[in-house]
Amino acid sequence: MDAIKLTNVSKSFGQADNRFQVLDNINFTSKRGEVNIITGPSGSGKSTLLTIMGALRDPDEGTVLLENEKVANLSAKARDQFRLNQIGFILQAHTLVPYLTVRDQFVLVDKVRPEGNMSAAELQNLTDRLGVSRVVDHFPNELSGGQSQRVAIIRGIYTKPNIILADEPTASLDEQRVTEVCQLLSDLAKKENKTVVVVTHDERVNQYADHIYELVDGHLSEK
Amino acid sequence: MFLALKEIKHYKLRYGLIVTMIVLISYLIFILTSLAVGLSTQNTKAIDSWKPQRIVLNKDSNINISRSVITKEQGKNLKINPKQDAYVGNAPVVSSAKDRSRVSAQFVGLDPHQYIYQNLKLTSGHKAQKNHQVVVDTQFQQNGYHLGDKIKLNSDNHSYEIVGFTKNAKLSIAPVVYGSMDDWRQLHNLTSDFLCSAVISKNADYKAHNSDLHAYSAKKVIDELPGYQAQNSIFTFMIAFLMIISLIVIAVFLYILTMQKLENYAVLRAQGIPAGVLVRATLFQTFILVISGIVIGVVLTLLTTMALGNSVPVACDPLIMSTTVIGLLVTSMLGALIPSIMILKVDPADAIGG
Ligand SMILES: Nc1ncnc2c1ncn2[C@@H]1O[C@H](COP(=O)(O)OP(=O)(O)OP(=O)(O)O)[C@@H](O)[C@H]1O
Ligand SMILES: [Mg+2]
Repeated sequence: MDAIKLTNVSKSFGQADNRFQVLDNINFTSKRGEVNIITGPSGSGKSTLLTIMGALRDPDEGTVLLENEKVANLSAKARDQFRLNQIGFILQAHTLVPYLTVRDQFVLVDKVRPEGNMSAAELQNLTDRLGVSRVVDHFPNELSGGQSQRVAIIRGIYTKPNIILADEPTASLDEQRVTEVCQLLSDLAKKENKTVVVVTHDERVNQYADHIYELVDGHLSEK
Repeated sequence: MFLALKEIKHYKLRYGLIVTMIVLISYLIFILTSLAVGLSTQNTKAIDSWKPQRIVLNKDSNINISRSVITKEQGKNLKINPKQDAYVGNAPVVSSAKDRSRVSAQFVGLDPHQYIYQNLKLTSGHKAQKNHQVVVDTQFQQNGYHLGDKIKLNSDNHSYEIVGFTKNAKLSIAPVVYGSMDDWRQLHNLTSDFLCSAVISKNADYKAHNSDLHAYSAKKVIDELPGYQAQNSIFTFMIAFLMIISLIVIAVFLYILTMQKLENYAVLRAQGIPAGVLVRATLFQTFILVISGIVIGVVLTLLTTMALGNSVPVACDPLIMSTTVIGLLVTSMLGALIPSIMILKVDPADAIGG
């Protein structure tokens, strides 16, 4: 079964003269257990592709199947639910709620989704592994860039999603942490049979990939 | 609830300021309301204590008790059941006495056989038993008058003795002096051909039986008290205006706060947190802030009313107070609608791409 299947996906922004084709007839599939890397120049549409893979945007043309679900058929509510249950985002921007401590970021998720999240022990394990267990009672503005990045990664996979979409997850990490994060993503794919898509310019990530794609001028090609 | 409370806890100063503003606005509204109610009841307390349904006045009086006179001839067909119908003779007077301040008052003559006289409740002394004895509102006490004081009313040479005090006897913002119908005629320079100013009846179907007279509803007569409606509408206008101001202030505050949070809300939405959770958090937050503001406002108002005591006519009417509270709550929840719409419009796709 394909966990992600994009068929003939096109997307453009703007109207009439300002119309700008970002994605042009993209085909992409990934099975469970695979780590995929997407690279490409800035502005080439990588983040846009992620929003489509993450059921946040619909393409102008083409179909998107996620975990065998035809995304276009989902109602707005069902989409929220689908993202909550199936998709883990690890994003570029500051993604933590500024007025919640690290611990409370996860309590919030438990409130909205009482079942199926990591157990306290699993969470403890992961914070230990990524070296943030000492800051669980800190607010996001009390964390270093790397620490908040790692907390955001844990937040992204706290719901145990089947599809993990990451936008530059290693941007503010040092060598040591890059290895740890990459190993974590790789473990999620290999040991827990998740699907991982990472948008990155970071060459250090490449060695963990099953597939490496390049997005140029709206065209996606495997390297 | 979780998000709402955590956020308030984290940004104490920010939310403290909002609560302070709500406190100030609600305090102002409550004080104005109490003042409005206080003044309004000072117009009508005496009439209210008579529990009237109908009030018979001369048609020429322009529906004004103190300007109405009814002759014995005009009133000869009036049916008086002393248990529920009573004559009153009203005349504005100025009371003076040696070593006492002058007090503008409303003289009300009563017939001792009728219910208003019979039901009169005194705080001290006894009822007037003959002409030139009067029972007066306790405001006279506050102005330094005592039982047994001899007072002069207008330029009447005769002096009147205060034999009793009664509470809540106010008419057109002046204290009432209760005396006899004879005294009323004398103060009004009327002959014995005159019966009274008005007939007060507890009977809703009371009829005047004379073409010169009319049995008005008590509400109508009260509404026509000089200045009464103008006063009430000014206060209503001020209070409504303050409500609108509070609506705008709360809406603007919430708008700015929500603006700052939209980016993070987009992320939460992308992560699958339903918009409803975020909207509910905002509404709940507004509710908590407004309720705490209002509660503090109410407490301050009560303290102020107590501190002012009798010097200013403030009164906290529970019904009107709770209506005001609900009004404030409704307007602020309306103010919370704008941020709610903003949250509903957040595009979760904005979370990605930075
Ligand atoms: N909501 C939008 N409306 C209009 N144009 C957009 C929108 N989002 C993205 N674009 C445009 O689409 C193009 C692709 O943007 P995208 O964010 O996908 O690039 P990217 O490959 O992620 O770039 P980067 O590596 O800098 O993050 C850009 O030219 C951008 O200006
Ligand atoms: Mg991008």
